[in-house]
Amino acid sequence: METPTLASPRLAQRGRAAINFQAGIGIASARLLAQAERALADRGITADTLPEDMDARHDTVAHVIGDHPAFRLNTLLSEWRAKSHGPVARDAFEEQRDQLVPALHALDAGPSRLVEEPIPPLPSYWADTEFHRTEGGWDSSAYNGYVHGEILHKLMLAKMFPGDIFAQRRAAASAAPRRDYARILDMGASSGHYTVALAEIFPAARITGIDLSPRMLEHAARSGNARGQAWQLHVRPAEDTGLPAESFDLVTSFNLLHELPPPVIDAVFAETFRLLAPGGDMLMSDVPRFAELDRLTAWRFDHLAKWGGEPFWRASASMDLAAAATRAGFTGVTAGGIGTAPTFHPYLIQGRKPA
Amino acid sequence: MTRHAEYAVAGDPAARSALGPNQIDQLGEALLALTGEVWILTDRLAVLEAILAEHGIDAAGAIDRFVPSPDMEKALNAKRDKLIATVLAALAGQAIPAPT
Repeated sequence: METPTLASPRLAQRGRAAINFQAGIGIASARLLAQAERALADRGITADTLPEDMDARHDTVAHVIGDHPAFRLNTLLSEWRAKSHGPVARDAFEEQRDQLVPALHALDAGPSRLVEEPIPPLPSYWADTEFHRTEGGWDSSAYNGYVHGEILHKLMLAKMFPGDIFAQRRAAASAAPRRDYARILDMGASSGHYTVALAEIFPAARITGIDLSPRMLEHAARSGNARGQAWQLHVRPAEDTGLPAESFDLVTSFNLLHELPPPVIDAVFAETFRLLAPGGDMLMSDVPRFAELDRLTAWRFDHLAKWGGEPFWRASASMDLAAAATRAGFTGVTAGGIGTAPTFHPYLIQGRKPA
Repeated sequence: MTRHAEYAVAGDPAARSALGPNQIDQLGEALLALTGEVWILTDRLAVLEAILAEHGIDAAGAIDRFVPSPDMEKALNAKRDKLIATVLAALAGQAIPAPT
């Protein structure tokens, strides 16, 4: 049972209305993009006629509908929301700081914890990137885990993104072939939303989480304590965890891989293989593969990623993850989307370390 | 009018331009920021009227008759300055200011 602070963030009126407005802008922005895509079709460009090369696809779209009011307004709204959502959520938190801070610290005590240990050197793909255009990065303020994990996810993203973003996590976790894993590693645990899903699906498992953001993991620990969970959380890179070999029965992630450049993704699969006990399972969930989408849908993802603080999305989504998993040594590798057309999101890659 | 003309500085309002062409995006973003503020106030007013109605008070007439106290005026001025700063930051293409 979630505490009210985490289940449904209670903001003061200004913060609540401002976040609500951000969600409204996101919804309006998506409608404008759909309108622009209809204009594209009216001018004879469809998924079947767009060029294969992604840069050429962008050039074609810009040439054909670059002057269309809906496309221009979509750009304006997207750009403004990208810049303002972080400060708006920050201000919403500050407005309620006196109530929220004691409530959050009341969740510090409990069996879930961020393990105190030296923080390893941060890889450049992380240190040099403001993912999702989060001003100052994930660790820019002491309570950023709550600001992004709860306020933005539950009051903005959940209203903007298609489908139920939390049900998608449960669906991904549920796709694992067994229910009796004793030791699970959540790579890229962040503020703990997928960890929550793992705990629901595998209630008997001992769950470890890693991420590069201490602020996000601090919040994940509070989220675990709010649920009476005993998650052990570490600031470690997924490609080089330093955790003992063969110490997990399931290694899994949700929406981690598209934040990584392809050589690091290869390293993550290799590290996953090393960490799994013989017979253990790998289950990674991420964004759809461009090669498996129609060209217009793939362009839409790339358009949103290009301007949304997702520098590695294109390279990652262009990668054959099933081949990468096979290269790492996994057997019985399967890959494919489990969602609905045309995106089939979320996309799952599964495999087993030979016994 | 005529005898003062020799003191006037020549200026053609039609040729005057405050914003450059590269500020059109900032203008659009300022409009969005302002719309957000209008929405927040609309939401707040609706909440206020609902709460007052729950207590049997018809707020509309009372609001029109209300004169702010000096303390309230000071608080309103601070909120006004925050609103202006937010819009101006967007116009200037600068980061949205943190609360003071």
